[in-house]
Parts: sequence; structure tokens; C-alpha cells
Amino acid sequence: MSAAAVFGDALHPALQVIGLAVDFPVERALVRAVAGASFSVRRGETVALVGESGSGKSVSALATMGLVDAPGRVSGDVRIDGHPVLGLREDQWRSLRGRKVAMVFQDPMTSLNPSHRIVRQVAEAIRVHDARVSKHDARDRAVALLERVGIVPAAARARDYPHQLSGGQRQRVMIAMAIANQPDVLIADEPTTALDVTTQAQVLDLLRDLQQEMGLALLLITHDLGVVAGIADRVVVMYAGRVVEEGPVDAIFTRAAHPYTRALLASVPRVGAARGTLRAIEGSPPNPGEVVAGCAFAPRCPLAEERCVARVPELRPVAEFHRAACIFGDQITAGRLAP
Amino acid sequence: MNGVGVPLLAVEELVQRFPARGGHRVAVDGVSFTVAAGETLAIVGESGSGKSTVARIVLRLLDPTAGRVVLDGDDITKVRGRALRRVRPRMQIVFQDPYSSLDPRMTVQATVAEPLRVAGRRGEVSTRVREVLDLVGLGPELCDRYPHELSGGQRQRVGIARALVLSPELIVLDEPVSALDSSVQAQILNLLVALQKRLGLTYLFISHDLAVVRHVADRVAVMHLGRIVETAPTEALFVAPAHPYTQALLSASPEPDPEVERQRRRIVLRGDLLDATEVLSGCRFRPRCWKATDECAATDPALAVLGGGEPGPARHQTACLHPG
Repeated sequence: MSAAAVFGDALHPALQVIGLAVDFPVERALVRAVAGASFSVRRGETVALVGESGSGKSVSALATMGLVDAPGRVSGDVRIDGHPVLGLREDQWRSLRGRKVAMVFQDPMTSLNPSHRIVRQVAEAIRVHDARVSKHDARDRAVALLERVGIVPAAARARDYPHQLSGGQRQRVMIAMAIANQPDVLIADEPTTALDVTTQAQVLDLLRDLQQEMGLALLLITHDLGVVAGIADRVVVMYAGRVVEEGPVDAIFTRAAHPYTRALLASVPRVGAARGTLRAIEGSPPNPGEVVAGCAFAPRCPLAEERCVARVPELRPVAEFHRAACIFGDQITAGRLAP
Repeated sequence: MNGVGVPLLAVEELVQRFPARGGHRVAVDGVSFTVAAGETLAIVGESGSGKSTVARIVLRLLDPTAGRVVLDGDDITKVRGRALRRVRPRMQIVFQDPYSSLDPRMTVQATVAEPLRVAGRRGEVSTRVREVLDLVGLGPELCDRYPHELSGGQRQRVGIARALVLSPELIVLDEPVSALDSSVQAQILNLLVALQKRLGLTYLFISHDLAVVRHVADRVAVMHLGRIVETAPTEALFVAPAHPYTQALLSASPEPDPEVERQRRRIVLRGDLLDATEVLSGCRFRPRCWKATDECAATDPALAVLGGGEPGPARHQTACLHPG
């Protein structure tokens, strides 16, 4: 390992996103899907990127993986192990993907080849990055990986085709392929959203175990605050293309400083809470392409005043490691204002 | 509201078999329940539980292999033609996905008016459409809009307005908030509860989401592989679940509270549903159950009242040899 790489490991977060913006041209106009998002994930850390549809969370993840296709435009700075990756050529990306950063998607059926046995697909994921590995060795390693992710007995199940597996098992195969080359960063985009609740619990346990075992930097993209509470160390909340709050998981759930985060937490039905009227958030998030002056949450916010519409509030510290993009952030954390 | 007089909906010993490779697959296997007027019964289950098949049979969209569906005392299982057209307006459905369930070429006005036109009540269209749009919180200015011009929440309100327009007694809600953004879910759930109070509606609420169910249901029936394995008034079920499957579902439902999640002792089930579909004798949950004994392989448990006594809609019942 080179000295630079060693320094890189020590000094830089495994994944660093700075001022990321993503635009898509739609009918002669530009739709801004992500408007200057910054966040980072360190080794051994799980960060949940939380938001509703249209918040920009999934587009941010795709941009981090170099997967936003033209005519989409990506700007800002994304660093993996300290190295800038935006603007890399496709062949450079191919050597990075899987080896440094890997991704698991919501629907494993669209990512798996239906006509190949699962062991072959995992083995190919290994050989893509290291052609010196013999087919035989790759196969052995693939079986071991399948065993590790809980496809058991792996020796027998390895010859199954994707359609012979349940949804949870298919997601396990995707995870095996993602970790096949020991990446530093694993991005999981709604990995359990399509699964039943009992299966979801199993897959989350697996991700948690692998993250600790391999010291992964895990970026979990989800809309489900229950999942976040169970797995994340830190939380980044996105709304309408911007990060509106970030902080340690306990701070976000118990001392949220942004009115949106507070409202979202109050509106979620809880298994452990008796029947009662849920605190709904009026209105809906802005449509893609809809330009809202100032704070995008202002039209739905009980605290909004003229200052909020005048300009976009910046992310500012409200406590240690805890930042919010709301001009009332300090007063909300201090308990002087309750949205 | 429970158990007085004739229930609005009674389902008796429903069975639904579908042809499958090498024979048939039993999607629903002897399901019975009642729903009183003005009440919400939630049917909870994971994929493959048969909950959506039950909903389709109740709505007469599917002919059951066996069993009866009784609406307000009348057996509607076999009604056809004119008699069926008289029954249809009394039961309506709200679908999961307001994106795919609305016709993209029809305006809000046309979408909501369609059931009236089909029922031959064209004369009432203009006043009635405005009335139901108002009920669901949509202004008349939305009448000329198309689905793509609406937000997800507005679309689901249109779906609810369309279900209300013929003044039904029973509404089947099939995962009505599962496709919606979290910040919009609560709006729609509160709206459904308010409409029920105001119009005296009866709901059959199909869902996989226990947290949602706890907030809207009076009673809950938990389905597993085509059977009801537990049924109880909502609070009793959540406070003291008796069937191991219900306990596992509850323990696997994530709670948006890091402290609760850290303290949680999760019941992790072995394997998945596929392992249970091949069980031919005894309890079908047995391959995944941590309480299973030899007795469970020999006996197929039927629903029984916890602590004994006469069955009834308000009683806590479970189909397990080792409940609690």
C-alpha cells in the first residue's frame, strides 16, 4: 500500500460528498434534483440518508457511484478514500465500483440475471476485478460468500436460479456480490423496502453484522424512520434536494432541530403507541422542478415567516456534531420554540 | 359497536384454490370473520398470506372455491347480473397505488363521476362530484386536472372520492397508504378515520403494516398462509399477542426510536415463507416457530378463545397449541 493511500485512510472519511448538485434537462428547463448536498461517511460508520420521494436521496447515491447518465449533469465534489471521483472516465469507474464502493438496490430481481445460476453471478463479480483468479477459485469463494450472507446450505443452493429464491434470499445474493471485492463503502438504497417485515429484520441484521465485521462505511438510503432508528450511527435528512439536518441518531430522534424532521417524526404511526390522531403534515413536498423561494419547507411549516422565504437557510451547528438548516434551529433545540 | 344484531359483512369458511404446477395452491383456507356496521376490521399479513385474495372475494371480483360472503344478511356469493349490479354500489375499494389506479387520460371530474355514469345516475353528477371532493378535502378548482398534475396525497384523495360517490356502506381499503410518502400517510389515515365517523362507514382494512393498523382498526385478524391465526380487539392484540407469528411480526416491526431499538429483543424467525408452504400436516408455522413441539406436527390447531369460552367477534382467539 502506498504512503498516500495510508494517509488517505487515516485522514479522510471513506466517502465524502461536498456541494453535490444534480440537474436533469426537462423540456428546455433544468430540473434540480440535488441542490448542494454535503455529507460524509467514515469507516465503520452507518449513516442513514433519509427523505421522501423527490428529496434527492437516491439521485445523490447514484451520483456518488458515477451512475447518473447523460443528459443528467453532476457537479460538486465526491471523494472516495480522499480521491476525487467526479469526472472519471467510465473505464476508471469500472475499476472503482465493486472494489472501493458498491451498491445494493431495492429490487434485486432487476439487478440479477434471471438465466444464470447465483453462484456464477457472484463468481463473475469477483473475476471482474481480478482476472487472475481462476474460475474454480472464484466459484469456491462465491460459495463461501453465499454461506456468509445466509444462503444455506450454500453448496446446494449455489446452483439455484434467482427465481427459485425468495425476495429476502435474492437480496442476500445482491449483498454477497456487493461485498465480494471487500469495498470500503457500501451504499444500500432502500434495501429492505420491498421485503416483508420478518425478512426485513433478517436482512438488516445481516447488513449490521457485515458492516461491523468488515469495517464498512455504510450509507443506507431509506424513507423508513424505524429502520433508521435500529441501524444508524448518524442521520442526514434531505428535503427537496437539500440536506436540512444532520446529527447523531439519538439527537435526531429526541432533539431534532428542523421543523420538518420534528413533523416527520410526529406523523409516523408507531407499533408501540395506542390509537390516536396522528399529527399530519399539511400539504405535500414540492414537485420536481417546482422552484420554492427560500426554505423549501416554509409553505408547510408552522413557524415560517418572511425571513424564511427571503433566502435558503444554511446548515448551522445547533449542538456538537448536529447541524440544521433552519433559522429557528437554536431556539427549537433549546425548547423555546415548538413547531 | 361489536356483535349487536346482524353484522354488515360476514365471511364464512372461505376457500380459494388456484391451479398450479402439479395440482393447486390454496391461497385462502377456511377463513371466517364478521365486520359490524361502522367498524374497522384490519386483515394483517405478509405477502402470500391470502389477505388480498380475501378482499377480492368480498368485493365479488373473484368466485371462491367454497364458502359464503354475506352482506347485511344476504348471501352475495353467487349473485350475478342485475342482482350483482344492485350489490356493487354498496361496496367500494380504495387501491394501494394512486399512480396506477387512476386513468391518466381522465380528469378528476371524470374519474369521480364515472361510477355515477355507470350506475345510470348522470343527473346527479355535477352536485355529487363536488360534494365528495369537498368531503375528501379537495377544492372544485381541481375538477379539470389530470392525475399527473396532482401530488400523491391528492391522487389518493381522488381515489377515496371515487369510492365514496355512490354512498357505499362498506369500503375495502387495500394498503391505502403504503405507496404514499411518510409525510402524507398521516393526512390520509386521519381523513379515513374522520370520514368513517361522519358517514358511518364500515372498513375492511388490508395491510402489512402493524403500526398503521394500530391507529385505525377496532379489531385485527392476522393471516398466515391462507388462515387467520389470531384475531382480537386491536389493543388486546398489540398488548398481549398470543400467536408466535403475531409476536414475531410485532417484534420485527421497527419503531422510530433508537432507545427502543437498542433494548429490543427481536424474535428472528428461521427461514422464510417458502419453508412453510410445503408443510402438509399440523401447524404450518411450525418450521419457523421456536415453540414447536411434536404435538404441533400432529395437530392442526383451530382458532380457539384464549382462556376458553364462547367465540365472538370481541373475543381474543388464536390458532396455536402453545399460545402466549
